[in-house]
Amino acid sequence: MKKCNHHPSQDLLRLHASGDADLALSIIVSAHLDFCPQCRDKIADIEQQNAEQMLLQPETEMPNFESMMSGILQQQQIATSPETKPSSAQIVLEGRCFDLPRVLSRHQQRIEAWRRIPGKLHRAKIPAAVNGQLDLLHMDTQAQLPEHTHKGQEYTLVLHGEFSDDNGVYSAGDLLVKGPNDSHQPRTNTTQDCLCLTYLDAPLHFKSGLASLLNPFSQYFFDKN
Amino acid sequence: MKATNLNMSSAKQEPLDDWLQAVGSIACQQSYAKLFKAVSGRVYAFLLKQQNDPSMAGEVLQETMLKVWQKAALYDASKGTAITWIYSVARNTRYDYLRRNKHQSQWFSADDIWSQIEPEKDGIDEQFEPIVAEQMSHLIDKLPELQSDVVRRVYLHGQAQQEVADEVGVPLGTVKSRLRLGLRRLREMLDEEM
Ligand SMILES: [Zn+2]
Repeated sequence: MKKCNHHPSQDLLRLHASGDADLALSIIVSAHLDFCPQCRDKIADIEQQNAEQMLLQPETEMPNFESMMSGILQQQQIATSPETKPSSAQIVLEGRCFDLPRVLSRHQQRIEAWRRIPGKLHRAKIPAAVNGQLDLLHMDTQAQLPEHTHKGQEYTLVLHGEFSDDNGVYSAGDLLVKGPNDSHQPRTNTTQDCLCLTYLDAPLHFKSGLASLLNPFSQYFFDKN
Repeated sequence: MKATNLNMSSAKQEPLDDWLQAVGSIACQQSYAKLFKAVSGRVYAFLLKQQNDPSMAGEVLQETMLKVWQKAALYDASKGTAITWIYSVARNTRYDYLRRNKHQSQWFSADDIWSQIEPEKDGIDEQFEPIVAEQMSHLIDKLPELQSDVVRRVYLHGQAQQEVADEVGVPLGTVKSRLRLGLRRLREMLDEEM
């Protein structure tokens, strides 16, 4: 498998492994891990450190430990087979199939219908984000998002194909994080389309003359239900 | 500081892995009781440290320890230590509990987010195995001594991890972590060679 070049920050990995990241961010990180053994190792490290931290805690008694334990022992054990691997799920756009990341594979039917947006783009909303918006975003070949800035953070994880901006090329597994003052203009080339998982925690703001006309319509890119 | 270290070494010497495996394989109630006594106070303290809310910590602990009893059969000692598994059960339980409490949609659960990724099978053709073993053996030699020893015992000589722990005289968790670090370094070396 090809190596990823753009990874979640150590802070984000730590939040994720500790169960302290927002759901949408954890979904993004989890999808990155499908592609990235290095980050899987880092997560395993953090989990182990956290577990060791847990073991180092002073034993704090709760008054009802005894009754809790005897209550539990009266419960039946659950006949468990190791969880069956979720069969890989796909999503279809105009006759083309794309593999969904594992984290979404059980929830295909929750993903909303594709909507066409200006500039050879399609978006399908994933109603999981609490603050902000989580989407699948498809850019066809030779597509271009208008140059924009954001009020918050924008996370873009490539699931298939590649896109580029003035700073580089991003391909499957790469995670690009843009802050409030970063302006960029994602585009695809003539031969390769691109499917991304995107999370915005605040509205987009389009910069250039004509594109700024899009600002009143930025709900096409960003809307809260 | 000294007290902490002592505390850790005593906790680490408790055979948590054995107890958890006995709970999973034969529903051993004594082993569960030992496990419960060894970890529940620590899990509870850890939850309180994350968020000082005794009623939340109590409920998450109860649900966590219930899952440890009910799902112990899912614990796979070859993938990590018992305490790391219990940690992940507690983390997932807390994650779902907090989202439930904030009335956030429940169709996504912690189990989706942290579902196990099965390591990919290396598709090595049998006829190449001796060559690969030869090359791997050179790479293993380049590992730090403690790691290469463990990797060689487990992968070249087929020793069980517990057996290695006994012979080397370190806890099973140490064997596992040396193995993990060693395998990671090997993968990095392979990546660099390609
Ligand atoms: Zn990564």
